[in-house]
Parts: sequence; C-alpha cells; structure tokens
Amino acid sequence: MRGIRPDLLTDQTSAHDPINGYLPAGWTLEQWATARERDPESVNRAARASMAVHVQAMLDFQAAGVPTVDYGNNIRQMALEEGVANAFDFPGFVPAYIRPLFCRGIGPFRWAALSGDPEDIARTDAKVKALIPDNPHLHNWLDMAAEKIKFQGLPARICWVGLGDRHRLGLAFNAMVASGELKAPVVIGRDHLDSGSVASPNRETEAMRDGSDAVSDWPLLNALLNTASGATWVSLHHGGGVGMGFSQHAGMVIVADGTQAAARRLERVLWNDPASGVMRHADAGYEVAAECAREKGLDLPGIL
Amino acid sequence: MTRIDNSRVIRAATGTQLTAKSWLTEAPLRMLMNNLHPDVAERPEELVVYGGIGRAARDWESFDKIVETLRRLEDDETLLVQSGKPVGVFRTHTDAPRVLIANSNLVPRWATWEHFNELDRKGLAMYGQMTAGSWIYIGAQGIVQGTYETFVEMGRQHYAGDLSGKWLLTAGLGGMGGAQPLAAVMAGASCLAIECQPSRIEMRLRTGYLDRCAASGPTC
Repeated sequence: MRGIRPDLLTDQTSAHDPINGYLPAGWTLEQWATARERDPESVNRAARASMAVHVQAMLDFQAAGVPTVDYGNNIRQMALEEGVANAFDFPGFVPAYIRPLFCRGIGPFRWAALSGDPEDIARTDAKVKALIPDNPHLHNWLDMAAEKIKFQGLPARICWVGLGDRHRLGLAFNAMVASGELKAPVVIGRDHLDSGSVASPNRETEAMRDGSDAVSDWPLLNALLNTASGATWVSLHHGGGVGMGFSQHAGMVIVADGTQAAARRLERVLWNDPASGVMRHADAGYEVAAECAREKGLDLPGIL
Repeated sequence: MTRIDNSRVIRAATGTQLTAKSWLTEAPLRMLMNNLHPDVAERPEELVVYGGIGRAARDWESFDKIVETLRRLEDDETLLVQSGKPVGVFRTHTDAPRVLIANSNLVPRWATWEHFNELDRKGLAMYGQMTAGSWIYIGAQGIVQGTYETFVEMGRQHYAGDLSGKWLLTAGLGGMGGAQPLAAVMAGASCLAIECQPSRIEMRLRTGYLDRCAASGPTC
C-alpha cells in the first residue's frame, strides 16, 4: 500500500469514544474485547496513541496536496491531546462545506412512514418535487435515493431543505394523511446536527465568525422553542457525535396525523425550528443568515 | 439492570392498527422500536443504535416501561425520559409534546467520559448520541445525504465539480461512516473504507451501501 495517493481523505471511525469506538493499531478484535472488559484504561491509552499516528498520516497527506477534512468524530482533538500540535490544520466539514447551508436553515430534514409501506415514501418524494420544482440538485438526490437506498426498518426519506420549505412540506404531508393519499401518519424530524440545534466547537460550531463556538444557549433555546411550539417529542442531549464534554444538542420530532390541530403545530414547529438556526447564524455575523432573516421577515430584535 | 438480552428482536408495528391511545403516542412508540430494528441498530440486543454506545433506552427494564407507559399515555399527558429511563408522567395539554427527553447531560465540570462511564456502569446514565436516544435514527440513509452534500461540495471546490475517476480514502463503516461508500458513488467518486468489525462490513454489503470487501490492503 506504500506510495498510494487518494484524491480525497477523511475518517469516520468512532474516535469520539476511545474505549469503545477505535481499535488500537496492532490489536486483534479479541484482545480489544477482553481489554475493554478488564482494563478499559489500557484501551483508552492505546487508542489515543493510535489516533495521534492516524492524524499525523492525515496531515502528511494534506501536506502532499490531498484535500483532507475532519468528519466530526473528534479525532483531531484526541491527537492534539496526544501531542500532535497542528492536528487542527485540516478543517472540519461544517465550516468547510456545510455552514453556508446552515445560514439559510437548510439541514437534515427527514420523515418516516408509520404505515411501513414504501409507497407512502414514493408519494411524499413526488410531493417534494412538485412543491420545490426549481431545485435540480434536490430532484437528483430524490431520484438516486429512490433507486439506490434500501430502507432499513420503517421506510423513510431525508432531504436537506430549509426555512420556508420545511413547513410547506409538513403541511402537505399532513393533508395527504387527511385525504387518505398516505396510508397512515408520518413523523417528521431531523438530526440534532442541524442549523440551530447544536453547540459543538469541534464540529457543527467550529470556527464561528464571532468566536461563539462553545455557547450552548442556542440548542437550549431551540429545545424550549420546539416544546412551546408543540413538537410531539423534544430531546436535549450532551456529548453526541464528538463525545462527552464537547457538545450539547437538541432534537425534535413532530407527527403529521392529518388533523387540523397537527397542521397548526406543524406550521409553527417547522417554521420556528429552522428559523432558530438562521437566528443563531445571523447573531454570529454571517451575512447570508442576516439576508435570509430579512427576506423571511424574522423578528430578531437584538440582531438585525 | 439488563443491558444485554440476546432473546429480544424488536420491530415497530406497521399499518393503521393502533397499540397506543392515539397517533401522537403510537408514533414515538413505533420510532423507539424502529431504532432497535435488526436492520437499523448496530447492536440491538444491547439497545445500541449507532455511534459507539448510543442507546435507545437505558436498559431492557426501562425499554419495557417506556413501551408500557406510551401505550397508556393520554392526549393531555407528557412522559419524561431521563437518560433512557421513564421517570414521570405529568398532566400538560393537548398541544404540548407527548414526550420530553434529556439524555447524558452532566454539569460542565463533570462532563467527562471518565465520570460518565462511572455513572453508566452504576446504571445512572445512558449515552443518547444524537438520534439514538431521541428515537429518530432512520439507518445510514440519514447520513447519506449529508455525506453526499459534503463530497459533492469537495468535488466542486477541489476538482471543478467532476469526481469521475477520483477516489476517497476513509475509515469507519458504523452507523455514521457506513454512508460513505454509497455517498461517494452517488457523488461520482470511488471509495476505499477501512473497517475492523466484520459485522459492520457485512451489514453494509447486505444493505447495498458497499460493493465488495477485501481482507488486506494489497488485495483491495
């Protein structure tokens, strides 16, 4: 394998959890399993030492001109703590590639068909295309997803849409449940990795323009807002993605059961939730977010 | 506290027959169970959904109690879940959330793996990851698009938007990383992913996210 040169480089081991998520170099799986039971600290030390070597190799590839990105598993932090002083020389994927989307409240919107029938997802896919006709990138995704992604468990779909689109889709799905076009209600939610719902200085909020990376008032406000707005379940977590001490984040799921009451809740929640992300990024000084907030008529008294 | 039970196989109900009192409680019930579906969860017998030890419920006793409570929950009540354990049902109102969940939260000075692991061993905590403990993990598809968006943007910034003939080197085919090979192919590239756990490789081959597996560097 010497002399190989990839065109792109990243890593998604569970490095955020050095005891359970990263096989130390040179260890067998059996040795690892036994040590995790009997002497977890030995695993911790060995895994962290391996991560330092791993990150150094990533830095070397980067120095050789290979585009290299951290994929949010905190491996740079582990390497830094192990003495790799320039571990953060390669960027995280959020500031490099995702933040411009977050500024407009665009993020991992998803829904699942409680009927268990894949046909319900096919119908919602068609509805998304009809309601967002002018986005070829989104249509391409939906076509490829329908063709290549096998459902795991209940049929579900994800597509990254933002403020102004999420509530329209939610209301449309609710109407489809009411009319019987869908066989049963759908749940609509998102990852905690979203525009307004997470504080994670080594990942989602790395290198914020105003230096507010570690401020976790934002995900707390997001959870409170979604609770007040009437989401069906709301969660507040710590340590996801990058591990204990490094993140706080909130989740939201809302049910479209076809009722008018659900329509009122959907309209509030699926507007307010992404709007809180636009608010957070406008406060941090991102002009794209401020423009989006003005365009959508958000009332942000201390920011705009 | 039962953390491992190999006899359990959990699948969400489908269809329109309710097992709870309304769709607002049937939905979290089905999504909790869906998180533990054999094709969704990494180690369902341990309640582990993805991301190391990200769990859907603290232990099997808690899982059973959550299920039982959701089935009896009224439309003006709210269930509180504390690190994967159902701790209270309170009268709220019909527009309020039916479930409120707090997972793995520690006061900042104590927010370390060392302290968490100690609590976890004592049965006082659960690692919720992001969507494991909040019951909206939908398998690797949930990450495929985010990963796809990232790879497409990498291609746009570094290779003028064309990734044909290019390849990505990465590692990790767990709940998060398992999305990488498919996302890379969708973005027009090839992908070589390193993974130590045979079960994860088999799962990605089975679900079509991976084309083939090689046991060593030279053979791949």
